[in-house]
Amino acid sequence: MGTMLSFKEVTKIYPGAEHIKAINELSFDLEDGEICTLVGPSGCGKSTAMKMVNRLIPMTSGKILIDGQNIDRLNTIELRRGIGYVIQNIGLFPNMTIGENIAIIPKMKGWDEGRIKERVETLLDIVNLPAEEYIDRYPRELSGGQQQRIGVARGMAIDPPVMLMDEPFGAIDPINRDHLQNEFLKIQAKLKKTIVFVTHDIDEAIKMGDKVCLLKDGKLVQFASPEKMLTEPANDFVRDFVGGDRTLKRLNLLTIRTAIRPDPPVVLETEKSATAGTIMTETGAKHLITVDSEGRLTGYIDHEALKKDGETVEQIKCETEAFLPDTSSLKDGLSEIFSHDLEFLIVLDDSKRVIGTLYTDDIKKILRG
Amino acid sequence: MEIAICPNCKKEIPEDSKSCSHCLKPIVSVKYKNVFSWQLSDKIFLFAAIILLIGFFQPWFPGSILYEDKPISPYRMLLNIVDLDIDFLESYNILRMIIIVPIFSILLYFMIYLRASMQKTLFPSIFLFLISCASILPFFFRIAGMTGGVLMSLVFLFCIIAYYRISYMSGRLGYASYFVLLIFMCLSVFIYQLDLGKEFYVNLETIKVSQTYGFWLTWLTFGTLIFTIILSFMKTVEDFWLMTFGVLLSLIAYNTFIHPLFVSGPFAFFADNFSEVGIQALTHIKIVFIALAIAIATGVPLGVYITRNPVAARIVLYISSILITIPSIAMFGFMMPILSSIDKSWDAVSGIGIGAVPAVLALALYSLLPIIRNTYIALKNVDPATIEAGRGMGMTPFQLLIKLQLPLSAPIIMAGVRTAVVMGIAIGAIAAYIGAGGLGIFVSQGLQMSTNDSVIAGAVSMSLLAILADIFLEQVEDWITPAGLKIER
Repeated sequence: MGTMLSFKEVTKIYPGAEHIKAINELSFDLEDGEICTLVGPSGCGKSTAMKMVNRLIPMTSGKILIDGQNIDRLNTIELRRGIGYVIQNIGLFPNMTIGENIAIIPKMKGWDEGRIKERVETLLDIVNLPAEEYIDRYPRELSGGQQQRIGVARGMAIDPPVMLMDEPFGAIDPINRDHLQNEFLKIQAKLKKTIVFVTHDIDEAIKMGDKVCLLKDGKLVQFASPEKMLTEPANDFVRDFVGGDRTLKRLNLLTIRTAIRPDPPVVLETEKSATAGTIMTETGAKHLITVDSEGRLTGYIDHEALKKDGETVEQIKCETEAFLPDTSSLKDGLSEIFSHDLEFLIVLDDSKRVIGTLYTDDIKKILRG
Repeated sequence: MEIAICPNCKKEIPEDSKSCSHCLKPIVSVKYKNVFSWQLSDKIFLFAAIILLIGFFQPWFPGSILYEDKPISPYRMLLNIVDLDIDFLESYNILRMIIIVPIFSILLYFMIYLRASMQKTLFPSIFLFLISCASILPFFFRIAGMTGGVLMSLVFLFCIIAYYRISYMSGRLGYASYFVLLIFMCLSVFIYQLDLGKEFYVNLETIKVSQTYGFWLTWLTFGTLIFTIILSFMKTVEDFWLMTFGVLLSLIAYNTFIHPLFVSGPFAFFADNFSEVGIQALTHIKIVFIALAIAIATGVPLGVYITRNPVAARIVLYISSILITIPSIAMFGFMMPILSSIDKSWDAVSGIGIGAVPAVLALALYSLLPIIRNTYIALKNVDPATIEAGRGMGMTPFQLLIKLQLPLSAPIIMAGVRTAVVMGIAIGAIAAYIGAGGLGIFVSQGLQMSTNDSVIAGAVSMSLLAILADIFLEQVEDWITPAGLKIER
């Protein structure tokens, strides 16, 4: 893990507008495998900053280093071929099939047929589009979301260490965008690319970024992790930009695990009903979570349930839907609590074992810091 | 195996498929069936056969001889009627032939069933093959002498057997037999038609066929052959029936309306001067297409260049707009004195009229505007996102042009070419006035001699030429449009 991409006092002045610095001494370092989201109001220079990395826009002064190499020293074409590039309007080539679209850089690089084919199939697999079905189809036959995935696959064609993405999910409806973002994060977790990700949507920036780079009028306002940007906004502009609901936004970043209350009141469902009653009076709990012998959730019992006839806990327990895995966001957790009007939420691990409970009080504590 | 066509993606699929193997959509009902399933070997074979048949009438064809120091075609040679006015046979009979075609369309339908039955057993194929050989091989000996005959027969047999073998290996023997039969029929009836054939076979004491019978049989097979070619362009049984009914109707229409016109009027003129019209039409086509080639070769690169240079774009588009406003007669007159000196050397090569070079250049200049403008507009209108993606991925400007901009602009550039061609055919009429030849001759001569029939024949044939050229170029446009662009969103 070293610095993969760094901006060093990069400045851009467009000819004909010499008094305005489109990018003003922008400097930041990006670790290998990190996503950096460039975000800011329109005209802040976020796209310009990104396009200087593959020299689609030449910089006026300063330098950009990729893996320690100054990009000015590299051949432009070779530089571009070595950087994955995904743009807002997808930019798939409508005259080529999906396979040809993805294969375009490998072909220019002179890979042999077999290797290209193998790579295309792997990539289609990664973006969840079965190769045999999609490889010979044309971009226009695909939906926007599918096209965007192909765009991402094409960007990754030669497995570039650095990728540039210019509002890649900008043209997609909110539901699909959310889905694609999640899928993309899953892919990124596996592939660990260094990505410069341009967006105008602060929510997306916070969700996707390991680092968020907030720009205003070409100047860097704050470069920090999303968490830090929400808790410690550098100035009023950042505070405004992330929005009055920035505390709520943090809910999205935190997982349930951070606010979990361990050792929940549980009872084995094979126990006698009377035992359950005893435990409830002893601990003072209003609810008891029932589990099977492996610790997996089966339901719950309350005082109402205890009044029912039944030999064992299993016979009197109630079904419940009030549970979530511990990897869900606090936002989902809170939403679940509110929508079902619950006192608490049962938290499960990967194998559905009960590992704790989630109370709104704990969430408040976390947010207060 | 019968072939069906997926109603959704229009690709071939096996009959009775539940879902399309290409687009994976379920097939509710298969509406379309292919009459023919053509493969490359069929096309090559048929193409060769057509070349042979055309060549039969050409003086350059192998086997031609010199007659009074002039080469004459095998057809004339075999007819042995060099002095006879051959134009009658070569023009009037071709007209007849076109009319006879529809009659044999029904016959062809039966032949399709014949093909289907031949698919099942080998016997008819071998039988037909032997009969055909017996009728055709002696012909080679007659043309080329003993050694040549043996050689030609061997080559011929080799070709046929190779074709059979390829077809047999791909399980399509029926198709092969069908085509071989067709070609042998064509060739053999030619021989029957001729005095030579009659004499030859009489000598062999084998078959005796009357000349009249041979004559009709010739056109029958010709018609079948042409109809087979037409069929190859049709995808569905529906098309076939449409065509059949269409030709039957036109046959009736011909007998009631058109035939009387042949007795007198423009059609009579047309029929009387058929070969002259043909020659002039060829000249017309030559002039227009050479001009077009020049215009494309200069216009497209120029159109590409001016997309990168806005100042040049304004100048070039301005000049080409001015060019198109110059009256054509003035343009031709203007070109004459400048270019008449080059004309002589050019003429020796191309064999077209004395004003051909000025005509070609003037037409090329006229064609420039639609081609340059369409190229420019098409390139400018390629989605900027596509270009940016290409650039960002590291394509060189040349790769961008070849792999993206030109393929994506092809349909619009072709639309410009079509405009240029139709315009060129029309303006080409004026070229007759500067001695370039072409169909305009009939108009100009007709006007001078007050023969309306001539004017009408010239005008009608030019319109037909323009329509045919446009249809042809539409097809070309379809070919060069990348498949991915034809998909409607």
